[in-house]
Amino acid sequence: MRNLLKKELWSEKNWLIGLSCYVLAVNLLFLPLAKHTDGTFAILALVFTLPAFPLLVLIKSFLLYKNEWDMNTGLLLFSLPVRRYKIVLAKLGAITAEVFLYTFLALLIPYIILNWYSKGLYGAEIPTLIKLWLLGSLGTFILIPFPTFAYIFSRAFVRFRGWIMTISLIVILIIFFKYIAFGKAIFGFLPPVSFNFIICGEINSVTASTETLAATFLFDLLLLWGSSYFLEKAEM
Amino acid sequence: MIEIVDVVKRYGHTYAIGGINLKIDKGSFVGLIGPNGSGKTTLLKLVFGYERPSSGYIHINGESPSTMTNSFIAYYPEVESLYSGMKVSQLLGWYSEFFLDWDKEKEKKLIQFFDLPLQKYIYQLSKGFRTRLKLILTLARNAKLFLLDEPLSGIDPTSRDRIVSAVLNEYREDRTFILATHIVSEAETLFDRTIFLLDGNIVIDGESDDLRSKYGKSIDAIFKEELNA
Repeated sequence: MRNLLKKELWSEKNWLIGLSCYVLAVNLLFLPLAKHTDGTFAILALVFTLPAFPLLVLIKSFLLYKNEWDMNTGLLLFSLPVRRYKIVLAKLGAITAEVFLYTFLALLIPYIILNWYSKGLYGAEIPTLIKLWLLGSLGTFILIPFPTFAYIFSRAFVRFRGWIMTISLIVILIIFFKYIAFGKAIFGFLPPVSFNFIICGEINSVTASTETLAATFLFDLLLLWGSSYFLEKAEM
Repeated sequence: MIEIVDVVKRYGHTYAIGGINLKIDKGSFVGLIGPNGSGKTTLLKLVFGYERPSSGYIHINGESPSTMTNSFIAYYPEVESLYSGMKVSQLLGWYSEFFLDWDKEKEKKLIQFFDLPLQKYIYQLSKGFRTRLKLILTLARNAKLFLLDEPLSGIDPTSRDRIVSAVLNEYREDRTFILATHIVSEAETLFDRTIFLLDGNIVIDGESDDLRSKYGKSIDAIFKEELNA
């Protein structure tokens, strides 16, 4: 398992370097604005790094598998004497590491710059930053199993895989939205997490619904189980 | 060792394998011969478990092919299957850790024999060297069954000789080899049994020496003349 994860992380190395460079470049681009302590710098730096990232993760989540077939490297990967759920977990592990690292950098770099110029007045406190980081990362992480399952499921078919993947992704989302109310009721005992942070001189409040997160995790577990099942059956 | 019973493989309406029955004993070296598209790769993939039969079954040592049988079967794929962003040494180190039957000494000997540059990235290697690396990944194991899919294809004659001798060096009585090829002349000395495939069906199957006596010609000549290859 550790060895599988090592390979996946190694394969993601260039992506990680590229993404880190992107975060750095965006922050450097808006650096002159950091002198004006109105928070514009932080907003621009975050807008250009964070909102599109979940979309990138969604694409990466199935490309990690698609490439194994397209490049025929799956012949090597599936020749290993390991159950394929371990492959699913290793790929999940690698992309999760990518999510947490990217989100960390996307928050940390503007935080450092902002605190350098505004002496902490307009930035967030460290515990708040950690909460934002965890929340942002987990919010992105919970999306990973959706395209993963849709792609692996489509491999069970010989033809029209693109259509099957798209339709199955839509079906999963419909099921998910129907399930989530029920799922939230199961985890209704969990308290929400709230915290404040200052930006543009104003106090902003964020409340995270832990019951939604927990219910989504449960759904994710089912999708990962399904992904492992269909990957075990997948032909190369 | 291998039991293939009424195996059919269909892709939609196309039959890649059209009902094959076959028994292969432990210790045999089988040549699987046929023109391109005759079903050689599909049959090897079915035996390894990369693909599943549409009907019929395959047993290897009494087990259906699965990720668990990968522990004693070594598969050499014809197509490029290496992670090009890795260094040769890195790939060997990573891959070898998964196999209990990996032989480090043999790996060293094969690296020397094939003159493989360990510090190069795989994308920097020529096709010949990538073939050699794939062969090391297969032959460095002390597997019970070796499935080699066209190891001689697209390779210059000098490298072919090296590959044939490397495969020959690995042959033991407790190991079974199936080598699929359409380049028969260089490889036919290896085969003690030869199976000719055409359009997904076995058309000739027998001990190589018996076939040579029966047809009065080499396996290569039988392939070219009888199969019009």
